[in-house]
Amino acid sequence: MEAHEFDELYAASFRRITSQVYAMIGNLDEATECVQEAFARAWANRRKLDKAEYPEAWIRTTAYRLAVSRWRRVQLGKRPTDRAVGAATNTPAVDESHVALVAALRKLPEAQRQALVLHHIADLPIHQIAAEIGVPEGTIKARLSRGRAALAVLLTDETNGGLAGGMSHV
Amino acid sequence: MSDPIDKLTRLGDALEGAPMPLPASEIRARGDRIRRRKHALVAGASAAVVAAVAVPVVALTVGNGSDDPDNLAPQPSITDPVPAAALSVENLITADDAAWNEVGTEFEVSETYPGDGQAPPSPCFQSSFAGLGAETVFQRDFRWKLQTSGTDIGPQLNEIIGEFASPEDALTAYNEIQGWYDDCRPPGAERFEAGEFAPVPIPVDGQGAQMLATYGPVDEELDPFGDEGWFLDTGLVVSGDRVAVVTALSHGQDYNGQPPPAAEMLPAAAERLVRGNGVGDEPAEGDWPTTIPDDFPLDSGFPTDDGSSGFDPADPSEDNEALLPGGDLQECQQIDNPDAVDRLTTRLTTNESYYARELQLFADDEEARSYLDSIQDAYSACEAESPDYEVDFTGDSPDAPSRLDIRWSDGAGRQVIIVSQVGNSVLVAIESDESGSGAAGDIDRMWVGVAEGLATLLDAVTDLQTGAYASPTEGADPNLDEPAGTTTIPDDIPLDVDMADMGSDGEFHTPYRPDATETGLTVDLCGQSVWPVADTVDRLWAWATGPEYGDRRELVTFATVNEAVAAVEAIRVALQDCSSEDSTVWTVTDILTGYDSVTFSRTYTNGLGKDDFQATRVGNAVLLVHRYGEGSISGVEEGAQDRTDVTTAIAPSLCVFTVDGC
Repeated sequence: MEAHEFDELYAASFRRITSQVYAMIGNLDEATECVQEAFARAWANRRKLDKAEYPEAWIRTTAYRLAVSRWRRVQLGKRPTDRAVGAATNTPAVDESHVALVAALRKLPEAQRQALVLHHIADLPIHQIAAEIGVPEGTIKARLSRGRAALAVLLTDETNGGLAGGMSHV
Repeated sequence: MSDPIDKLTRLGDALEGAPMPLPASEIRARGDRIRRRKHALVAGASAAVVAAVAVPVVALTVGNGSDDPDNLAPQPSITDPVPAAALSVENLITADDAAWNEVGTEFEVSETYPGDGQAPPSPCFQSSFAGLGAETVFQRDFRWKLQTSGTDIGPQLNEIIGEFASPEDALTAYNEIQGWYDDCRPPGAERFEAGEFAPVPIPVDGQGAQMLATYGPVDEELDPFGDEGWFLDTGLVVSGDRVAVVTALSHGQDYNGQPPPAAEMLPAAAERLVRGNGVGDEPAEGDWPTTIPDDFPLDSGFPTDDGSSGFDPADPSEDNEALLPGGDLQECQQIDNPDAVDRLTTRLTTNESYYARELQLFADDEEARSYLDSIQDAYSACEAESPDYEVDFTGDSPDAPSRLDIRWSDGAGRQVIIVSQVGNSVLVAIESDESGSGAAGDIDRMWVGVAEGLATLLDAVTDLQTGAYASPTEGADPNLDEPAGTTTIPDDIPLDVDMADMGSDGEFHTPYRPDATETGLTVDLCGQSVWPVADTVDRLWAWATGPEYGDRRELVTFATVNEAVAAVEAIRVALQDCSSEDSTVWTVTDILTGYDSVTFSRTYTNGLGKDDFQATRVGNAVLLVHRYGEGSISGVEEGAQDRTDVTTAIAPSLCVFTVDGC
């Protein structure tokens, strides 16, 4: 992959991947840093990236793993050792309804959340999600089904004075 | 209630239009650093370092004053362009390399410093080296020893070198610098004539080029008859991820540097750039380092104190118990007790992990290798006894680093040990935890983490071997966030230089400190106010007006240099997003002042009127000069030159606001 090709990939997909990882982990700054770091690693391993059928998926998966790895380290009370590129980011806030949606997503089990994000936000077909995560297609379908149902309930609760913070008329 | 799936789908567009936090070039630069470090660790790129220390290198014959191309041709035995150590002042040419008429006799070193200087090394530079992307920069200025005139300092010579994130970035910078000379217009110059950069053979892998340009006029003080010109002789080298620029500047009627000094110095500059001064020579008996500095950053990259009760560090010290008697190294077979000449040991215990590092210096490289062999034998015995061990040795050749990787994982815990030998030093790094997972992926992840964490430390070990090690506090760049030394503006700043007095047709005010209520210059760029700037410390103000005439100069100081940097940068950023508003047109002019400046003009599409602005930072001070007149967009370049003349007349007196002067 040449520099200009990488730059084009970065410009075209950075925001998209960041919103996907944000939906997966619920922290926009963390998502931004992890996606940056994933792109840096992608450039460092560009030969590998050349062979990847879906470079964007490679970067998304790397960013997601970085985020999970960071979260684990934080849980262990350790300082992250994988430094993001440059100083800490200060990402602009997203729309309030998006915050509510992400808050609802965070209440879902990780596997369901990941399936929902990849299918409905990343717009990946089920067979590709299965390949990316490494589970059978049937499992993905089940996770999507359960995830949609759970999300609908969570967002209904939200409307009734829950996550969105609106006044309850009950 | 809206469909949650619709909401999900829209979330994918949540960040569309949001600014990109970092440009792609910075991401690639980070990627290149990752790759280089991985290569250095895993594939043994430190080979050149060890080779430099332990292996004879064929001596080079360069820079001997001959212009015979055969003498300058790359030596076939020199094939490794990998620099022997981190870029340092050792990679600059010395007075012995400096050439004019006779190599090594006419110049002496005036000053050597890290980073870009306050003034550019060449009047054609359009950016600092750091601005080009160099991660490390050094500059050396030379003084002409044969000065005979009180006013003429003689030929001027300097060299600037930089290390970039990758060879690609260095090559890009090398080409970009050459482009600067295509449209160069030194301050005050009325003409500039440049040829093409011509290739110059260099004795290392890379490229060299030289070009002689002329411009004028020469200052009347130096050239009272007006028949001289400036001769700008420039030599460039790129090798690997490094770039050097040698600049020789002189004035006269005819050019009498034969051959051009830059071309003459370039082979030496190329060799220094790659190999440094003396680096590459085989150390003589007794040349091995024998002392580890007390401030050696052995614990660099260790987790920082998180306030938990389990955080228990033992800071680097020779008083800490050594790893071997401390039981940190498993002895499936006895490890010979090393007879080190110096040692530094550090440990850290956290709630979940254990870290230990030890650096030892031995009498020579053979003893160091013997210690590593002993550790390898011991762990190979462990590997033979238990499948939980994995021992890999790499670099078993005379010109490669010796490195031992030991990994152990039994499902209840894991441990990684990396032993690296560089010259007569052996560095042992240990990390272990009780993660409860014995998956291969987990031990691999820990191994990569330990290896990557050692990259910087191994650079320091290498520097220790080559004599290039500098204390972390020694020669460090000044902290630009620290309070500036001078914030009060001296009374004798010539802020009103060349300011016209219109007599009774206008007003004329020599420099004074206005009170807080008096408004000075105001600049709004598409609704964004960039001047005045908040939180200034001192302020000086001079102005004159007349019919269709306004000339205003305002000087402010800030508490820190970085605040001044931010003030100028804010103007640049605002201009990027503001080319026009209603009938107003903003035009940025690319003109050199020799300082950190931004020059811009305001004109109108529906009438005459032109404001020329130039903001210039010198240390923690920012000077904003302004001129208003009945002009149009066709006159912005002329206006920019006029403001540059004012700035360059005032700016030298502002050097009091810099740490080292201009």
